[in-house]
Amino acid sequence: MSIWEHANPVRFMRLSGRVLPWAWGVAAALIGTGLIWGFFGTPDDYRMGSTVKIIYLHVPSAFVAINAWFMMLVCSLIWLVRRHHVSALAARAAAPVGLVMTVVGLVTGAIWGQPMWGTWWVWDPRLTSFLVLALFYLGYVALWSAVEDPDAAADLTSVLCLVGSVFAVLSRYAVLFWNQGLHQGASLSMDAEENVADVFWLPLVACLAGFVALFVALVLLRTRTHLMERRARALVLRARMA
Amino acid sequence: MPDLGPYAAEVLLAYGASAVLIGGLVAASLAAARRARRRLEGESRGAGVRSGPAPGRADGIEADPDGR
Repeated sequence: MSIWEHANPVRFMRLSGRVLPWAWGVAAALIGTGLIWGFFGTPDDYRMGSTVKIIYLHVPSAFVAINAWFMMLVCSLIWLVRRHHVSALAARAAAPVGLVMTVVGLVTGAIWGQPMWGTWWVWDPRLTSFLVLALFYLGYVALWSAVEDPDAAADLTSVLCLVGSVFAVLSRYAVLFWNQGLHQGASLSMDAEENVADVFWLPLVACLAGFVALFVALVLLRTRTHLMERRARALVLRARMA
Repeated sequence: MPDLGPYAAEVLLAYGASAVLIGGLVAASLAAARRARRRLEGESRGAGVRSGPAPGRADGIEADPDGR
């Protein structure tokens, strides 16, 4: 079976209906395990004290915030090239999730930064590009709501998504190619020397996987919601024309 | 409850704010899904009364003819 056959709304509803309970379950289990393990079962960091426990929220939310935009980019490209409505609606469904994750990343980062850096905010390259990414998310959500014709809205938001991808890339890689600023380097890397200490690593990975599962569950749920709304609108229009 | 030392307020604030934001998103998404399902069921019943049930659409979602 080709992957494109799942772009059929009926098949998508059937498949997502089966996957959704599992995604909720995996998300709850992993986030619960990771947070309880991280909060109660890990020691304080020798420099950051107990604020290191914020890492279990800050890093996973930032990871999802950035990668949600890339998922939206892929969906937008599929919409622009192949005109699959499920794809456009999946991108639409992911935007509020990405926005909330970006805000969680910014808020937890500010709360963490205050005792460690002595300031809530600094115009550091990574923080600034992340704030701009949040504004792009806001613009994307607003544009979907502002345009009445769904196909026109999908076209316009897809173009916005392409443009905003620059800031998603900047948010991801700013710490690597801009050496100024307060934000530390990558917390997660294939290079073991750059990673967080082993004692924090496993609960962090559990939280990361849990946030990804939560993102999947929310996007599936919200895509199903948009499909049901679309179908209801179609029924209303059909009734009016009859 | 672990001893969070001098940073207890910051840590608890971060966890509380995240719980409110993510919990709010989950609650809003579930509420929107329930509203959409109720509306679709209402419209499907209306359409059924007016023109009879559409074949092969148990979940009320119609596929585009070309699968889009």
